[in-house]
Amino acid sequence: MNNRDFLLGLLLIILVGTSLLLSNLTWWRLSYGTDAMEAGITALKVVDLSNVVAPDRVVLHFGQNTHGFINHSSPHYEKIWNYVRESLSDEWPAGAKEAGISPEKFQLKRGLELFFATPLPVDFLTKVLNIKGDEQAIPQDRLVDSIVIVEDDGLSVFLKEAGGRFFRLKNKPDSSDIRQILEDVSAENPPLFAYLPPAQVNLKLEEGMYVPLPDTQNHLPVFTFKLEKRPGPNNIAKFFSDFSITRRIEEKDGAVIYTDGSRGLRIYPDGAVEYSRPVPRDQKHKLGFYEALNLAVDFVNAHGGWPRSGYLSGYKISGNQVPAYTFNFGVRVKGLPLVEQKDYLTVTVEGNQVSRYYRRLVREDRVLEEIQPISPIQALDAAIVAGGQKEIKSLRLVYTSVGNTLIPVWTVDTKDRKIFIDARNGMVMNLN
Amino acid sequence: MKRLISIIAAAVLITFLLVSFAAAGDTLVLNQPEEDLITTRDFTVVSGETLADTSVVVLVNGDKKESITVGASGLFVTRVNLETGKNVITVKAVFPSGETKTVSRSVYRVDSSINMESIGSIIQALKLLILK
Repeated sequence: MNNRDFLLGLLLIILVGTSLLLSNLTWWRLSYGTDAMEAGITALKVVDLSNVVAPDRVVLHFGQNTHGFINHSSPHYEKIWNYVRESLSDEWPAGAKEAGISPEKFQLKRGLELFFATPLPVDFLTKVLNIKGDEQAIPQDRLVDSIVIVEDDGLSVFLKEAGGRFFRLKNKPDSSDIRQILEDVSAENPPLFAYLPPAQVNLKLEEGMYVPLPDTQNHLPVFTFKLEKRPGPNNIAKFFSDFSITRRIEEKDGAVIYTDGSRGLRIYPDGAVEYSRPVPRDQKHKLGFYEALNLAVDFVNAHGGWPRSGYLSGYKISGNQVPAYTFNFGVRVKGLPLVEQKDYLTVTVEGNQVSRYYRRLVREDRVLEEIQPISPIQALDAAIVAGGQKEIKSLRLVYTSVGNTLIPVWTVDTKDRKIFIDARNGMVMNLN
Repeated sequence: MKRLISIIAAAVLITFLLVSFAAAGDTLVLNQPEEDLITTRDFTVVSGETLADTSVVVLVNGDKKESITVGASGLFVTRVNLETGKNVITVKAVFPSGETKTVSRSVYRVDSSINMESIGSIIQALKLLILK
C-alpha cells in the first residue's frame, strides 16, 4: 500500500514538474517571439510624431574645418536629438531675427546641424517640437531644411530654410553644453569629414558636400532581407466597419481582394497591402498638416503596426479649400534611408479620413558581408563617366534592394534623373 | 574697309586667346587650407577642384606627402600631417595638357593648450597695425 502511494506520489510530482517545465518553455518561446516582432514593429502604442520627423542626419562641426557625421544608428544620436529638443523648448534670453549668413560661415565654428529628411513647415515644427522663442518673427509658411545650433555670439539656434536662408530663433551667452557634446563624440575618434563647397570648375555641384577623409570611412553591412508577412484575418477585419458583409475575390496572380461595396483592400502575393476608400464630399473637413500627419501615422500603427525605423520621407499637398495630404514614409537600414523606385508606405488623408494606404515593408535579416563604401567623389566620378552628367543637384548614401539583398548605394540626383551607383565597386546600377 | 575687318578679326582672336589662357590658368581652385590657417590639429585637409585627369601633388615644407590622380568630377580631398610651427602647403597640378600650376598656403600648427580665439584676435590686431 505504502509502495503504491509512493509510486502515485512520484508520478504526481513528475506530472506537475513536466507541466511546469512545458509551461515555462511555452511562455519563454512566446515572449521570445513577441520580442522578435517588437524589434521591427511598434504595434498599438502611441507613435511620437517628433520621432517620425526626427532629423535624418546630424553634421557635427568640431571647429577648424573638420566635421563628423552621425545618423540614427549612432549611439550618440538619441542624446544629441534630446539635447536639441530641450534647447528648442527652453526659454532663452535673446529672440529671433533673420540672419544674413552663409553656410560656409559655420565651417570653422563649433556646432551641430540637423538635417530633416524632407523640408517641414515652421508652424508644424513649432507644434511638434514645442519650440519656444520668438518663432512668430519667422514666417510660418516657410519650409525648414535643418536646425543649426552653433557657437555664434554665445550659442545660437537657427532654422535654415530650404532655400538656404537662416533665421536665428534664440541665443544665450553660454555654449559649454555644446562643447561637452562635441568633446564626448570626438573622444571616440569618429570618422572625420571635410566640407567641399559647391563645385564650379569641372562640374556644377549645386550643394556643398561632406566628404570622409581618406581611411576614415566606416564599414557598412550587406544584408539579406525579409518581406513583411501577409496580414492575418484580424488585421484584414480592421480595414472594414463590418467585416461580415465583405466579399473575398481571388485573382489569377494570387492577389486577394476584400470589398464591402465602398472600401477595397487588395493583398498582393508578396504581402503588399493596398487599401482605398472614397471620402464623401460632406465628410471632407479641413485638417492642418499636424493633424493630418497624426491621423496617417495612427492609421499605419493600427493597420499593420508602425515600423520602428519608420520616418516621413516626403509629402504632397493638393487642393486648396480642403487639402489632401499624401504622406510617404520610409524605413532606415543602419541609419541610412532604404530607397527604391517605388514607395514603401504611403497614406493619403482627405478630410479627416484615410482615402488610400499602400504598404510593402522589408526588413534587414542576415549580414552577408561588410564593405567599405567608395567615397562620394568616386561616386561622382562614376556618375559622370557613365552618364556624362555635369550638373549634379545632390548626392546621398542610402540602401536599396537588389535580388534578395540590401546593399549600400550612392544616389546621384541630376536635373532630370536619379543615378544609382553601387557603393561596393562604383558600378552604375539599373534598378528599373 | 578690308583692313578694318582684318583688324577687328585680329582683335577678336587675340581676346579669345587671352580669355582661353586666363581660363586655363584658373583650373586649380584650392578650397582648403585657407591662407594663414592656425590650427591645433596635427593635420590639415587639402581640398579643391581642377580639370579631370589632372595629377595633383601635395608637398609640406617642400617634402612630397600625397599624390592624387583626379577623376572625372575634378574634385580632390586629402589630409596631410603638420609639424609644430609654420607649414607651407604646396599643391602642384599637372594638367592633361602638360601645363602645370602651383598654389601655396601657410598653415600654423600651435599647441592645443593655447586658446584659438585669443590667437585669432592677436593676429587680427597685428594685421590692423600693419595696415595702419
